[in-house]
Parts: sequence; structure tokens; C-alpha cells
Amino acid sequence: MKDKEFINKYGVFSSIVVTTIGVGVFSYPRDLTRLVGSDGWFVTLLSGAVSWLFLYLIYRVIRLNNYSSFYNILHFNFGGFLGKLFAVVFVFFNIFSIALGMRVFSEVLKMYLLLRTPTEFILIAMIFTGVYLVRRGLDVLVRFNQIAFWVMFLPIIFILMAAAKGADFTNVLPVFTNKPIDYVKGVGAAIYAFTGYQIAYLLIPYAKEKDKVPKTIMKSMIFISLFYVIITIMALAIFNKKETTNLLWPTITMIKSIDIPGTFIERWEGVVMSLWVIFYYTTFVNGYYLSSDIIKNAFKVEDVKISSYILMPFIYVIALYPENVPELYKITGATGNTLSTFSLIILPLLLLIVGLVKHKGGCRDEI
Amino acid sequence: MQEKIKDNMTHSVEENIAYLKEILKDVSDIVYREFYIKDKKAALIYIDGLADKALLNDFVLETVLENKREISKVDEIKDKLLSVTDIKEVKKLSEAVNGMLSGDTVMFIDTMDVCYVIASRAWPNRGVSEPSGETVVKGPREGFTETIRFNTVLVRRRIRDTRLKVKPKSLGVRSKTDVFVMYIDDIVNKSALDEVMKRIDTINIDAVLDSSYIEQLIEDNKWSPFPQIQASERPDVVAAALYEGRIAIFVDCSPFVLIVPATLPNLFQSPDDYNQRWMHASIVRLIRLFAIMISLVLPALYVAVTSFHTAIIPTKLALSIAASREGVPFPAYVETIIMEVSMALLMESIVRLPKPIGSTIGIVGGLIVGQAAVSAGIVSPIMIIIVGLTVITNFITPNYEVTSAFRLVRFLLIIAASIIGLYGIMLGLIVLLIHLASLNSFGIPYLSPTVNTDTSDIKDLYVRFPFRYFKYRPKYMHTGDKIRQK
Repeated sequence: MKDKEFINKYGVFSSIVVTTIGVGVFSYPRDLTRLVGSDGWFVTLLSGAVSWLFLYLIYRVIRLNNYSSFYNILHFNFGGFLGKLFAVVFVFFNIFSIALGMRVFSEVLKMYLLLRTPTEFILIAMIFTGVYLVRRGLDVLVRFNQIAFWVMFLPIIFILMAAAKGADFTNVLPVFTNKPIDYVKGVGAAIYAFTGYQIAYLLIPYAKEKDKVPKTIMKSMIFISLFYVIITIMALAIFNKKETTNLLWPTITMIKSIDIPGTFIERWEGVVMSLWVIFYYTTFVNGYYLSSDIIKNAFKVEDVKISSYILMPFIYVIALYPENVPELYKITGATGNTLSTFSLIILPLLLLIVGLVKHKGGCRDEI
Repeated sequence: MQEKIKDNMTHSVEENIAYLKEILKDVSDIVYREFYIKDKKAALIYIDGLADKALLNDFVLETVLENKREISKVDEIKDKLLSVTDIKEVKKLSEAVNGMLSGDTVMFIDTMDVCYVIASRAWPNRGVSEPSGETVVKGPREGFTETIRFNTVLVRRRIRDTRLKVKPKSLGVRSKTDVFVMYIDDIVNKSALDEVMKRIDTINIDAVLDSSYIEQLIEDNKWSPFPQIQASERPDVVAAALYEGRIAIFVDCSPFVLIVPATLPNLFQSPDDYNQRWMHASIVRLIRLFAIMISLVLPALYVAVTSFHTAIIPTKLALSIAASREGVPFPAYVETIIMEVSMALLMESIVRLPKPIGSTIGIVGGLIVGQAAVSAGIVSPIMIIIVGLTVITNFITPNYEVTSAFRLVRFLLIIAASIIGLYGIMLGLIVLLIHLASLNSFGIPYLSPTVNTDTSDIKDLYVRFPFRYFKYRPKYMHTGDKIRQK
């Protein structure tokens, strides 16, 4: 990291996309269909727009604070104590979501691929692979995201095409049948699948061509929304409203229904699960790096390597905490909502307001 | 290590020769030829076999001894008497001795405090022949030889540009091997060039016997199995690299010219990609990509599927694999590792043995032992198919060093697969990707242009676009002159 600006447009785009799309997509069609029926695609677009607004907010906050790092922004706007507190809450939110995501991931993995492997082993292998990347630094992380983007989405295109065989797209049809309040609720649930864009706090300060960042983040949000729309519509088309709400992980069941005659592979979910290792890994490792970086800055830890070791046990313990899958989703719903509301909505708004007030007051000193 | 040779020479030929005879005691292949130019004593000193005797006889001794031209002063000897093109006045004795050791002839003349060094290098050499490693279907058949001067000529014939620079270096405290750094001044990536020069200057080894010594001394990460410098036997490859803003390092006595910076996609390309029509070349590139994936994961997949995930393949296939493995006493991963190791042994022994015996090894090792191992029930026939496919796909990569690196990774993946199946393979591939992403070659990311992509670079990556679309030189190389064609 010799020069300060080393992340190009494509780096920002792919990092946001690969971080955001993770294990959330397994259960995404179920939650949405339960709330708004066949209007899932519309709610997805709405949530995409809302997430883009907040992502844009993050961009404005960073620009307002002269492209400094996340902790420096907190420190500058809220002072030492509050800044540290908010940083810890934010890190906890990140760790919490990647750890629970890891548990979901390992449960799915155990169900479809590794029936007898202990959860602990799956978690430890994943965490160590994460540490391996975090130790290499931010530029390697961004390079990895760029490669991973292709590794992830090229095969997915083919898999979705194969899955479309038995689809009945008229299932999508009754549109706009819900009350407006249901859409709001739907957006509230769907937006959880969009968490991950907070990686922008890490990326934007190092981005090249800063004036093009808003366009890039918009593109990445469009990509993510379209991906979720396709998944939702596919799930609806292959099953139907009722079936989708009953399935634990409709996305996987959808892939399970793929049958291409004459190939070496009979059960595609095994193949897709192994592909999903990368989907989850990118979400995990980016969140992990972001958290380690904030801890490093907040507590003046020498190196991101050391702060990543500090966070390691927390991830492991939180991931192991839920007893079973229903409890896992309950915790995700309850605690996750409070934390994400604070970290993703209240915090950037606060930062913007405080920042604007301070700047108006003529306090334009840079950190 | 460095020996001391005094710098100054005396006016007397006798004394100079006496000094040389003293430091070069017991060196029997040096010829001292003393003679007179008019009444002045002179001497020619050269190494027998390294210097061109015909040149010395016809154009130095003959003109001098037969007094073909009239001269009045000593200073005129060089300008009016000697009819050779390349002749230098040298003041330092050590420099003259170095010249003599590389094949030049030293000429001392009485009363002069300088000596002449006549370029008379002519040693036994191999002519330009077709390179054995990088063969092409269509394209030039010339390959580099062990003589550095021939090699630079082969490249210069392809770049008639005043801006083509050739910087000389001498490496190896004892071997004093000639090294040339070649680049096109207004195209080259300047920071990479500085880095190359800096790293070459840090080399302080006794002898450089081949360019691979330099390769391993200046590479970025010596703990990586992947080559971070491209070595080529083909002048057209080197010329193409120079036009892309890269730097070539020529080393005397080595038919491999180093090209830096190198990226992984560079190492996957062959001149055929450009010499053949673009459609065919593009398909070949895609096949190559597919092949490298197959060769990386196929044995590991076999291990994972047979020991963990028998459910994901069709029942019939699972049954036929199970049937073919019946009687095999080892678990799948032991079977795979045994076969991989014996394949590596076979390849290594074929490379080492003289060619006629090599084919015997191929037949005995490959056919007889393979067949017998299957009939004896030690390995399953499906395993033989998998190993065979792996080897074939492995060697589609044009670069042998990349092939070896991937072979190593394959072993690691087999081990990962034997522990946690497909999950292990995926984690292994992720670690591989991270490792590749973390590598740099002289400031250029090893995976460029797949990372930090610029749209114009994609035209020459997974597929090759028609030449008409190559408007710019590779952007990731940060070249000086960016326009390739208008």
C-alpha cells in the first residue's frame, strides 16, 4: 500500500457485490414471500433503492470528513469515548452478522455435503482461511474480491439457466396485491440481505477517481438488487407462493431440482454448495477485515494482523452459541435488527448531521 | 573472492609479459606471441581457442610483419596499420586481462603506456536452431543459443528502433558473465526498470552459470512455487514483450532470456495465440483455462467424491466406480497419491535419460506397469484414467515452470480433499487465489490484468480479439508510450 489511492472502480464494485451477497440468499425468497407473496421482486427493488440511499449516505459522510478512515471519522465527530463506543458497537454488529452467517453456512454445509464433520472443524477451517487473507493486507483483499467476483457469478449464470427448466413464470403474476404497510415490512426484512455494503467505509478512502465513486456504488447496488430479484422470481416460478414459504432454504431446494440428463453430476446442490463456500467466504473475510481495521485504529493496535487475532475467538464463540437452526434465525432476527438499525441507519445519519453542524460552525480542521 | 590485478602497465613489453606470466602461472592455454614492429617490440596475448586465429594471422600479424603500410609513429599503429574493425585502447591492465579472458586479444607495444584490445572473440558455438521447449505450429523457428551476441541480434532484427536500449552488466565475481538488460526506452515501465537494475546490482555471487540463477536471485517471493519471471527461448516472444513495455535480461551461456515483469496470464500464452486466426486462438485459450482447472482439481475431486460425497454423482456412475475399486486395498486418497507420485517419477526419469532409453521407460513404466497394477488390483482402472487426464491437461500450459507449480498445488488439494472433501478443495482453491493475489512481479500484480482490470486489457485475456482492436499497449504494465495503433 505505497500510494494511498489504489482501488479502482472495478475493485470498489466487486468488493461491495461480493461482500453483500452471502448466505442471506439461502433464505431470502422465503422471508420475502411470507411477507408480501408474489411481490417479492418489487420489494427487492425497493430495498435495493433504500440500501443505495444509505450507501450514498456513507459516501457523503466519508467525503464530508475528507476521506479519512472510519474510526477517524467517529473520533472526529463524537470525540474519544463516544467514538470508541460506537466503533465497538459497529464492530460487534459486523462480527455478529458474519459469525451467525458462518453458522448458517456451516449448517447448510453439514446438511448437504459434510454430514459427519463437526461444526467446530468447519468453523475453524473457515476462520483460519480468513486470517490468511486478512494478514495479506487491503490491496490483496481487493484483488481477491475482483477474482472472486468472476469465480462466483459466471457459474451461477449457468446454474440459474439450468434451474429455469421447470419454471412456471405465471406464478409471479398477481402483482401489487398487498397493503402499503406490508411493503414497508417487507423492505424491513429484505434489507437484512443487503448488509455488507458497510465495507464502503473501508474502500472509499482508498478509491481512485473519487468523483466516480457514486456511480460505481450505484452500479453495484443495481447488480445486487437484480441478482436478488432473479433469485426471488426463480424461487416463485419453480415452486409457488405456499411452497416457497414452507421451505427452510428455498434457494438450495431450487437448485436441488436441477436435472441435466447425461452429466456426471446428479445432485447439483452439492456442487452449488461448494461454490457457495466462496460466496460466504468473501462476505466473511471482508467483514472480518473491516472489523479488524476499525479495532486496529480505535485501540491503536500495531497491525491489522494482531487485531484479527483478537477478533478470532469472538467469531468462533458467537457462531457456536445458537443451539439449532430455528434459534439461530431467532437470534439473527431479534438482536440483528437492533444492531443493524443502529449501525446501518442511525450511525451514518448521526455522522452526517454532526458533520454538517460542525462544518457549518466553521470547524473545518482536518484530522 | 576478488583477485587483485594491478592497474598500471609499464612501457616495457618484457615487464608486462613477465607480470602476466606471474599472475597467470600454470595456465597453459594462453598464447604469448612476441614480434617486432619495425624495431619496437610488441606482443599479442590471447587464449587459445577463444580467439579467432585467422583474424590475428591475416589482419594483424601479416600486415605488421610484412610491413605493408608505412608508419612513422607508434600512435599510428592502430589508425593506419591494423586492419581490424573493433579495437580499443585500454589503460588498465585489469580491464585488458578481463577482455582477454572473454576471448579478446591484448596487444602490447614497447614505449606505449596503453595496450590495444582487439575484439577477436570466436568460440565454439551452436548455430541458431529450433527451440526445443516452446514449439509453435505457425511462426518463426528461430531459438536462442548459448552465445549472448547472437541472442541480442535475433531480437534486434525484430526491433529496428533507435530507442531499443541494451545495457551491459557483468555478474559473478569469478565467472564475470556478460548480462544485457534490453528495453525500449520510451515504452518501458520505468519503475520496473529501476527495480530490475537495483536488484541486479545487489547480486554478489561467485558464478552465474545460467539465467535461472539470476531469475532466482532477483524474484519477488522466493517462497512461492510460481515463477514470477518468464524465461523464453524464443526471440519473437522477447520482442513482443519488449513492445509491451517489459524488460528482457540476456545472460551469456544461457539460451533462456528472462522477461520481467511477468504475470500469470503472460505465462499461459503462446506465440501461436497471436500467429493463428483470432477465433481459433481464443478457443485454444479457453480450452487451456479449462484444462488447467481440470488438472488442478480432478484427482482431488475423485478423492472427495469417492470418500465423502458419493451422493452427488449418478448412482450408476457411483456403482461403476465402486465396482472398479473393488479389491483395491487402499483408500482413495492413498491410491491417488501413489499414482500421482509414480507419474511424477515416470516424467522425471524420462527427462533425465538419453532419448532412446527414455521411450523404453515410457513403454515399461506407462504401459506394462500400469496394466499390471490394474490387473493385480493395486489401483483401479478409473484411477488410471484420472491420472492420465490430469497429466494431459497439465501439459497444455505452455510454460513448464507453471506446470510444475500447479502439480505441487494439486498434491495439496488432494490432501485437503482427503480431510474435508469438497469443502477442503474449495478452501484450498481460495488459499491458492489469495496466494496468487498477493504475489507481485516488479511492482505489477501477478494476476493482472484479471485484477485492477482496464476494459482495453480484457481484449487480450481470456480470448484474443482481432488485432484491429488492440489500440493500446497493456494498461496494467504502465507503459510510457500507450498507443499501439491508430
